[in-house]
Amino acid sequence: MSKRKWVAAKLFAVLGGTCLAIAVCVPRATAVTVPPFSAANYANRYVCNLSDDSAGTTAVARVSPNGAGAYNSGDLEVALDGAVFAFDPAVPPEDNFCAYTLNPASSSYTVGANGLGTEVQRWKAVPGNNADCPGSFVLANEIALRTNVNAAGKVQNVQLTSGNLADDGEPGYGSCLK
Amino acid sequence: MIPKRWQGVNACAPVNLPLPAARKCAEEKKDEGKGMSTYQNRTAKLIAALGILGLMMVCSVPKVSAQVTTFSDANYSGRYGCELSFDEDFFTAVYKYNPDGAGGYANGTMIGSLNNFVTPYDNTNPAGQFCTFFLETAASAYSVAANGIGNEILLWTPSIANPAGCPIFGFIDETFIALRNITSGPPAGASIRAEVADRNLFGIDPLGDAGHGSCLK
Repeated sequence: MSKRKWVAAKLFAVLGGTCLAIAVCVPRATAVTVPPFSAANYANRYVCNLSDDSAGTTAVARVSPNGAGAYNSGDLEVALDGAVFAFDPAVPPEDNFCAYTLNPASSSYTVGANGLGTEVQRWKAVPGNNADCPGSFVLANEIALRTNVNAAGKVQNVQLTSGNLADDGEPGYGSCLK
Repeated sequence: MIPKRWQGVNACAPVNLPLPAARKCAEEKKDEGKGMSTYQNRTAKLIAALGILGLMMVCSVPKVSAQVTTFSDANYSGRYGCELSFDEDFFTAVYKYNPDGAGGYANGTMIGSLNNFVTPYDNTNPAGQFCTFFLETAASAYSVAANGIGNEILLWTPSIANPAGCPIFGFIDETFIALRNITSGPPAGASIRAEVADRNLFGIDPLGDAGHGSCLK
């Protein structure tokens, strides 16, 4: 073998060894399959888009279920119908929306083996909300977990139907995404 | 040292070799004493083969990806395509815009169907039945809190090329956005999607209203 070929072979061998080392050392995910589902599949951080067409209410939320039927924290920003809470373009968004934080101590969720579950969330009105904002309220959601779990076994998407968004007593719908 | 099983094996024994094999043997003889032995050559090939296997494992095995723990304006950056529905889905729009990662915008364009504003729908010129608005970047801003919830003030002004029936005045829309915890470039670290709630699409209701939608990379 010529010197050039020898050097090339050495280089190739070093490169190969490096790749092998990376393959062994890089943290890898374990494949998790569902069903059966459990509360553990609904965990960590989700952002949600909620709508309640009959009352003209919409909202975005961030919730952090803990994988064991409770929540670590949550935030909700609600947009109301203009007839209930008039929009003022001269003030910042904080004053045109209604803000709420989740009370984790009195909120909970369940997930059945078939991936359907129930959330009971108690949302506490943030001090300083506009006077037209509803006060603290209880939101109940029926959730359907999708099967596209991530490497850690947490679902990426949840579809939901809700009742009583912003205490309006009307049915609504939405989804939560990782 | 050459393993026993390889000792005594001479692939270049003086027999009637086919021409390519004979050439190979001649080359090997020429290189004898210059560098790598047959054993070393095979060892290098074996390591390289293992390396290729490793590379394939690196590329094919699902890996644990990094997640954002503390959000900022920088996580909302680059180009996003958005859809909004408003006032119990009565009004709708699509838009694309470029938050700059620092609380401002590089540009933005919104398009809504003309029949958001006038009826009946004109079938004679379907492609012309839309109203375009441009984002006034100097008067628009956004802010993202550490928890990934942000808000936006967006000033949209109508294009002078809009067909008759489109609004002739601009409007201020205000939104709250919730950023997903999955990032993708460009630029690196930008959220792939934001959920949106808004209050004043098209400025069409004097009291404002509620809308919602999403923006995707």
